[in-house]
Amino acid sequence: MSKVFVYFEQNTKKIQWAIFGSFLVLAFYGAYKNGFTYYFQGLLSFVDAMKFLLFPFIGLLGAFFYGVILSKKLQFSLEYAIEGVLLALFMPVRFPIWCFIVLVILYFGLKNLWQKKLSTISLLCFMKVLSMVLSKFVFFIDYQNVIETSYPYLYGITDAFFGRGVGAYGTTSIFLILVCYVAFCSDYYYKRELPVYILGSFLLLETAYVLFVTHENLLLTLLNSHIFFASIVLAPMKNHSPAESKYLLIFGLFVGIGSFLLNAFFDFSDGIYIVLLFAQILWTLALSFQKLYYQKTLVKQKD
Amino acid sequence: MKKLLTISKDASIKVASTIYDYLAADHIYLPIDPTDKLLIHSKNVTKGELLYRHKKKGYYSPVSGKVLKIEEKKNKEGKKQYYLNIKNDYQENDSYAGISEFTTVKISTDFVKKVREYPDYSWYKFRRKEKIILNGMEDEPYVANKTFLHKYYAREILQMLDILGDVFKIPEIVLCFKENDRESIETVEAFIGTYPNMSLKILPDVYPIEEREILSRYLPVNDESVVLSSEEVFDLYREIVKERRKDAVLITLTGDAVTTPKVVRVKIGTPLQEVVSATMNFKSQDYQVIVNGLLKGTVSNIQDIIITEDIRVVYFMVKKVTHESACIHCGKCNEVCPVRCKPYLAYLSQGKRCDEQCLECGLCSFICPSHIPLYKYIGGKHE
Repeated sequence: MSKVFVYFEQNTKKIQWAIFGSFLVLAFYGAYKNGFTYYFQGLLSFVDAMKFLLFPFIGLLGAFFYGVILSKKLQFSLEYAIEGVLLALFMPVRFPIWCFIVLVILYFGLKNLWQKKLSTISLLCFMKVLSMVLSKFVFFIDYQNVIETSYPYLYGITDAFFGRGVGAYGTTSIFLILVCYVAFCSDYYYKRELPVYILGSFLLLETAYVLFVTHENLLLTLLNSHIFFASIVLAPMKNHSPAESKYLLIFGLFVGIGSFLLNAFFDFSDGIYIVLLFAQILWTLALSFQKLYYQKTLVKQKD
Repeated sequence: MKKLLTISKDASIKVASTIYDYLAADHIYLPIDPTDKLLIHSKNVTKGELLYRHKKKGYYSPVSGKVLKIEEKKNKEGKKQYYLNIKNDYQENDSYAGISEFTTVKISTDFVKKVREYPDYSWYKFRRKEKIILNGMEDEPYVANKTFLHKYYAREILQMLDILGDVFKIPEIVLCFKENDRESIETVEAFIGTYPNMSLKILPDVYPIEEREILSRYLPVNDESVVLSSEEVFDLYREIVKERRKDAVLITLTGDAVTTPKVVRVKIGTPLQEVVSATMNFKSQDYQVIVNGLLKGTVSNIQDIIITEDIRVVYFMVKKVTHESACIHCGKCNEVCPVRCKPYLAYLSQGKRCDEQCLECGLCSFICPSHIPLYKYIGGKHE
């Protein structure tokens, strides 16, 4: 029987470094925005400012230990490191460090089992939703940092675009997230159309809603960093969204519309993570049914 | 129009610049069915002598020598096959008369009738056609048979095309080459000026452009066109103009395990092992032998391969271990399929949803990051 002896090869290492590098930039920007700017203004001590670097460091440490345990030798796996830093990026700034450590341990502890049983649902997304629940109902914190909760703040459209706005630790800069999109696009297997579907549907509905209902500052409302981050970084991850283009479109529209509804009517600016998780669960179920249905009958398709 | 892929090639695998000849095989093995009736008059045969017919196809002796016996050997698929063994006497006595009075035949209108002497060829395919398309492209990576044929025999190929055009009143002849095959393009450009009915078409290096369905995206290939490969035209030239029966083929022996890949002219029926021992040197001994393509070939045992007309390339590739892992639902298999089959669907259904329009080009399996053999699922061959 004929066989394929050659495979498409892309420079995975190079792509991983590009993604890891762009995530590090996001992480350092998070530390700068939430810590060092206030340190330079004399509002925070140096130690407090440095604490913000702990988030990515803990993520990286978790990745390192996971790699060591898995491979039983000292090695630095970029794939795990990317996940470790990503875990840090979407944490609320005031999220307790000890709880983040627990989440990192939980993430890497569950990773193997999760990949075997629930590979089509993103564990990262689940962790984010878990952190959202903990923030809202256990720690009673929002996305503001200590200074933002104490002082009145005012920022414009460029501030929101370049990252001065309120958001998770590493997700405030939409500009840097768009840079990440460019880095992701170098990966041949990245589903680059999915962010377009999600953002397209969300921004369109949000624009209509703002123009006809709330009459708020349109651009400021549209520059929701959670939506950009989740749609560009989390949603198109391999294994967590449909393969066929028509289902990918439905998936994207579902997430976009769902995020809009939660944002507009329930004031969940970060509702996209919940919708994304829900969409992945629905897709997993649909996939199981699809497999069962297809495997029942032999169908030969002709021209 | 769907964007097609270019198969990236290892620049270090570069074929030697001349054709090597290996025409002195001690024994020739021709595939035969034990029920086939031998048509020879004595055990001593001449080159070009009709030996037997199998499924209406005539088998001619590529050498002069002595017919020894019918013996059972394994073929390239590893299955048992009977072969007629001929011992070469190296005399090259040629009995084939071919088509006589060719020069008068050329201008004669009853050419078609005359060339009926040329066996096993479907001349009807030239009737009422408007265009001849010469397919001078190679799909499989590292194959250089056509490039060498153009380099050494461009004049003959163009002459034969011109004859076909004249005789069958076909006004247009289009010569197609890949944009990166500069050698073929330059050689043909040197001769094409004398043939006003011929034009050159440079096409992109995409896979699988050799397939008629794909070729038709770049130039009108319809019921009024007849597509011929360079090898087919050259074989016609040899048979009709030079009055020589086809006794040898060009094969590319290449791969990352050999020091210098070569295009070798070999007598039909020669055991590959003999050709390799005489012409090739290896960088690595840990290789696998792949026949006829890296994307749609078969892995074979070097001792079992007898050179036949359908073998175009033999790869000697250093063994690599690839592991099949679970599908990551990237959807690239559907995206790259040139005829819009749904390999992903076939995979989900475990082969229950196969697609009959599949070209078996192997692109879906090539692109799969999980190394899933999707060609099995889409062809319904998955066990």
